Amino acid sequence: MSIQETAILEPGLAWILIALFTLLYVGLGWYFGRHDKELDQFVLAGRRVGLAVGTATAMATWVTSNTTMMAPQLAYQMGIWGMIGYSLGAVGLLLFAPLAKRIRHLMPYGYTSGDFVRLRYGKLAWRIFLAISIFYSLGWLVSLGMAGGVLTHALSGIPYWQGMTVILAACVSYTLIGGFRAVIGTDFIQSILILVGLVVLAWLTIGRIGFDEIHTSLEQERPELLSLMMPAAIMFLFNNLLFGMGEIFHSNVWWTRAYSFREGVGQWAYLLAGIFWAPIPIVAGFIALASPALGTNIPAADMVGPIVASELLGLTGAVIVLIMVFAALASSLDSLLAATAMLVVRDLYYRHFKPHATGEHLRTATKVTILLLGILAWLLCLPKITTLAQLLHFTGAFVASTIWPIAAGLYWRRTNQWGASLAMVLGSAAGILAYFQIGFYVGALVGAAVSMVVVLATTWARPGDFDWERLREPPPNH
Amino acid sequence: MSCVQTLRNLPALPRVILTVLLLPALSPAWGATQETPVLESTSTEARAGYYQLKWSLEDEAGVDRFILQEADSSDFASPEVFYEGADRATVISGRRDGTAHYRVRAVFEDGHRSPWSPPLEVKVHHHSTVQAFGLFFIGGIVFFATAGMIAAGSRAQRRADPEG
Repeated sequence: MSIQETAILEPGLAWILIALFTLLYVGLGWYFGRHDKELDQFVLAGRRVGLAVGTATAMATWVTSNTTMMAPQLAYQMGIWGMIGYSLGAVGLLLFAPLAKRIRHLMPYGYTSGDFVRLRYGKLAWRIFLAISIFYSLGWLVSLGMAGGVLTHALSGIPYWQGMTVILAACVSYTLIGGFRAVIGTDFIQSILILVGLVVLAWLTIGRIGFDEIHTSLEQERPELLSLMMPAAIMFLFNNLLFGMGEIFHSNVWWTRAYSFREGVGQWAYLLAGIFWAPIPIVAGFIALASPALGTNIPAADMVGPIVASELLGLTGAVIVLIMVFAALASSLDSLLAATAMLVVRDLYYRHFKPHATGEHLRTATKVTILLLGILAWLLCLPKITTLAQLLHFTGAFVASTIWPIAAGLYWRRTNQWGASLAMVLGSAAGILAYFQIGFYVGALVGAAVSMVVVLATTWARPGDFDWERLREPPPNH
Repeated sequence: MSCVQTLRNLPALPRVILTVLLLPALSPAWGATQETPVLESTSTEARAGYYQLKWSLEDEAGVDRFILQEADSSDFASPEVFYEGADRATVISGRRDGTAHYRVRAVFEDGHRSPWSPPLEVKVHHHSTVQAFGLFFIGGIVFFATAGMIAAGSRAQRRADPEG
């Protein structure tokens, strides 16, 4: 049964907007990817991506439904610290900047994050890492699909499953048609749409409702949202920061970009993307804090952003939010589909089952996997079992446990395979325990802390002596 | 003297028989018809100050709106209308420690009203500040250690390979 009865957009208008932007993205996907016939071109855009497009794709991918819809949700649940804590997600991009440089330097022929873990730590750690990474990717995919359904439902009353289906189908289509170049090309357009949309929304919001009114309403009705001593929010601060670091450090989404950027571009692209990204959750989150002043009912926490924007700004606001969040969703969904398909094809299919596959065969396998991932995400999105924040933060315990194995593995010769494997297993277990015992706002923090202690202890107790040259695995003959 | 005290004063056998017979009447659902809305909360003890209330009617034909009341006490001596409208849920956040009581009723298009739902109690009990700052401190250590390790590693890489 529906829990939202007050929608601003006519369903017909919402469908027209979705159809127009779907056509635009599919068209652009075809245009950008029309010359990419080789495998390296299809999955890594020929490894020649420049600074402007590199920065835009990193920023647009990190501006997801998580930013545009979860930042307001967390501001609504955790107040000021929720908003600021979310913007600390930028630290993940900033700290990945030097890692991107190191990755490109150590692995000029790499394809996936799995390649690094396999070569650096061996098969056991690699398989644990793959389990974590594929689980996380599915969680993120499902959260993005859910966000598409929640968004269209909140703005127009279109049933959740219909909006979710159409948005997923649109992103699968253009990723299939154009490959990685389509992903980063559309990211560039989408990042412009997102930034312009947010600036217009912030401008209109400040013009229509004052800071004083927002503050007074919060103080009277929801005082803890203004409190800097709210316990859950205090725990959430570093949890979100470490979660973001874990997502970026381990995920193939960011590693494929590090491989695809021209030499010397990765560091600056990630640095600039982090700087441009940081204020976005503050702007998006601020909108949610206006809700008590407006007297708007919020039926579900993950709907607060679109509902307040459309309530405050009427039809214009609803249209801007739909276009902006669709762009944000698409820019992340396509990247995630392409990067996860690549991880599945190269690390599971090629390395485990078809080591002699040709480039043409792997290109087809990548396309089939993109389609299958889309279908799997759709099936998992249908029941809508939880909120966006809870779903995504459940994966936080797992990904945060990879921070130290990845970072120490890139810089320290002495970190060994047993330490890395144990850190990921024990970190994930401890994080999940904390998630259920305390709350979703501590899973990543505990996972990262336990993983760090294990890496430090095992590196000190049984130091290895890794030869960096082993990471320069020659490119496969396809 | 309350019903419960009266029961306690009876001999064992009649007490058991009467308890079994009266059990449905002591239940909050007693007297409920199909028109009585069901009210639920995502948590009865909110440790982060937020929770979602959801309500529904078995047969929603002809429902115009719902009225959700909030009160400090379980007898709803001085209730406040928290929400009135067509939505079937609301998220409450930013609350300080305390207990709130809720009940909901439906208003139909012909003007008649359903009975109130059985009351629902939600307690807000924030985590302790000791626990919060303890985890904050651990998070800070992990973050600064990671950032320090990356900074030191990058510096060492620049020294070893100034061109790279």
